[in-house]
Amino acid sequence: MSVEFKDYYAILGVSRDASADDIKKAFRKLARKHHPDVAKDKKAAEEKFKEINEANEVLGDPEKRKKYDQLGMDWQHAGEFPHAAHRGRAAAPHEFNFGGTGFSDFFEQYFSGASRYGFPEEMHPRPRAATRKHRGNDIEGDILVTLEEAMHGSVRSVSLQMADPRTGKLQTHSFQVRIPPGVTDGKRIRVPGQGEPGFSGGEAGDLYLRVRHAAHPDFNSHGADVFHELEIAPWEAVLGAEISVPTLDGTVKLRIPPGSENGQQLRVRSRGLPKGKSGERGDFHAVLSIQIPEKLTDEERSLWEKLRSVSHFNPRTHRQA
Amino acid sequence: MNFPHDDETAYSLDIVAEITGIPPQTILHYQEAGLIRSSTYDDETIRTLRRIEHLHSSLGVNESGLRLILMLMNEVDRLQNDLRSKR
Repeated sequence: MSVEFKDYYAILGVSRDASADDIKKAFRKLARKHHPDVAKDKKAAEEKFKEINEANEVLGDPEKRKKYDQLGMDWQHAGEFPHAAHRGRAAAPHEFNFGGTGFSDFFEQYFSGASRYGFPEEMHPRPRAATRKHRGNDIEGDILVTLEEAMHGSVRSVSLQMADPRTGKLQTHSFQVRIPPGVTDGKRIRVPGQGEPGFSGGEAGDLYLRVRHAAHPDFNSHGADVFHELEIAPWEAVLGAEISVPTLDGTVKLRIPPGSENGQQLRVRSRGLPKGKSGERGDFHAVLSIQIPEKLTDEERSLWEKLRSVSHFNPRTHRQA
Repeated sequence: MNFPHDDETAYSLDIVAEITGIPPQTILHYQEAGLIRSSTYDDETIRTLRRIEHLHSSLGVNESGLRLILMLMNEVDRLQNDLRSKR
């Protein structure tokens, strides 16, 4: 099973030396454009959205980005990358491919956070003789879940292709996985009996799918709490304001108190993700981010200059002895 | 369609014993030793029990070793998730 190299820089439309901030901005712009909720062609948008998310997952993480850059160089030199050698273990009978998890084979091969098994494979010795009843190994993988799915729950069709450890023959199993409402990032969903087949009448292992919340252009999640970076003007921070803010289910009116600071958090109770079946919900947090205007008109400039001359405000008073 | 893998599922001790093939007394012992959560049994408990069995039977890890390994694995998980949510 060879995998195709993915050019994550091209997917996000950024250069190879793009800063972390450039990547974040490019991701947000594309994610807004291709978000399945807003696009007309939902199916195509969904594919694109997953691709952008995957690129962001790798390039947005300094460690993964470093690994990816190295991988890219090796790939260019070696043509197709010998993935089995890279992982330092034998290929054939233990390889498997997921379908429907939202991640490409390339991502799963190199960047899937969890080991495919509960443990690195060498810790799972094969039974020496297939005469003793032996339960099949568990398999672990990642599944990309959008915040909207986490909000309402969904059912996903997932397939898993693997070689039968006894015959070496490739088999594909397809099954439905229920994503429960309120599922948090990092939560593992157990799919009974979809792991490796057992030996000599032993049961099959289970499949554990670790939930990865897809990055959203407007929201971050932490447990059941949802965070939104709310960009405001300096005068809104100083004078206060009332702003309509998007949440996962409709907008809320937020009152920015006068004298708000950069990074300050405003909480809206119970507008986050559901907390399981309890009926309770996490909170929504707007994190204030004061934006400085980049271009000034002559009039604006003269107003700032006037402010400078009349203001007694000194942000560095603590430095004066 | 029935989805037995709903993550909200809470199992009884007998069911967990049946799923994992670990005798109930042993599960209770792991619980008293603080290796698994004592409040409810769910899919995470099953996963932990399978890890315990594997570490114990295939690798010969003793109880103190188990406690340390499980604690470290949970900590790694927690830190990875924290790091992700900060990006």
